[in-house]
Amino acid sequence: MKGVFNLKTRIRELRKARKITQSELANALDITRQTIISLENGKYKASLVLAHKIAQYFDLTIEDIFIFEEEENL
Amino acid sequence: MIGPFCYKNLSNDEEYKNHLKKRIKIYILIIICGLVTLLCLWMSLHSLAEYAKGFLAGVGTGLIVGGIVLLFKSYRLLKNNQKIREERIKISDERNRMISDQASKIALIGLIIEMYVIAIVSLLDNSNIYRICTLFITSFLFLYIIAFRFYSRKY
Repeated sequence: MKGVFNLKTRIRELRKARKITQSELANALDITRQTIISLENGKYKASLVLAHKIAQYFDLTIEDIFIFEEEENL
Repeated sequence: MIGPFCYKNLSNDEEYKNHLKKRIKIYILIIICGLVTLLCLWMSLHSLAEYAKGFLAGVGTGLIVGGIVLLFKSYRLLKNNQKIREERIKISDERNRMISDQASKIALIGLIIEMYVIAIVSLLDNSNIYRICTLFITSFLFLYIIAFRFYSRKY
């Protein structure tokens, strides 16, 4: 059995819990709103620098925001 | 500004302003290149073929107009701090840079395939085009090896 790794983010959940818009978050992180949308949809995987910035913004660790899951292939 | 090689990692607005000031010098150089092209056309107006005249006139005018437009846009940007920030975020956004790199890679692969096809087709009647195309493909591979070795040592 060989595992396939899948990266999930909690950005949308955390953003909504704190009532922050995508534009506000993008503005705070110095990135475009489209990048936030892609990150939330799981289409784009953040670099280590951006992941660190996001974690700092939410005052959490990278592991709390980005969840690395292994999907098992049978 | 959207286009290949336009994306750059810039951490603050001041850095972007300095980058724009350097770009302005390049745009002036582009305008000068356009003027030189038109001057070459004017100096050899009677000795050139119709196709060459059209080509030089098009390239010269294109360089001048393009350079002036980019120069004008850069000066306007430098005066507007809000726009500077928006544009900096757009060009230094890591997703945009990744997309630009991917697009450049695809365009390059397309260009090499085109060169290869032209080289093969030109073998039938024009060996000079074949030589130029193979020279481009070989120099690309050579430059790639040099750049790869350079960055392997750097990182």
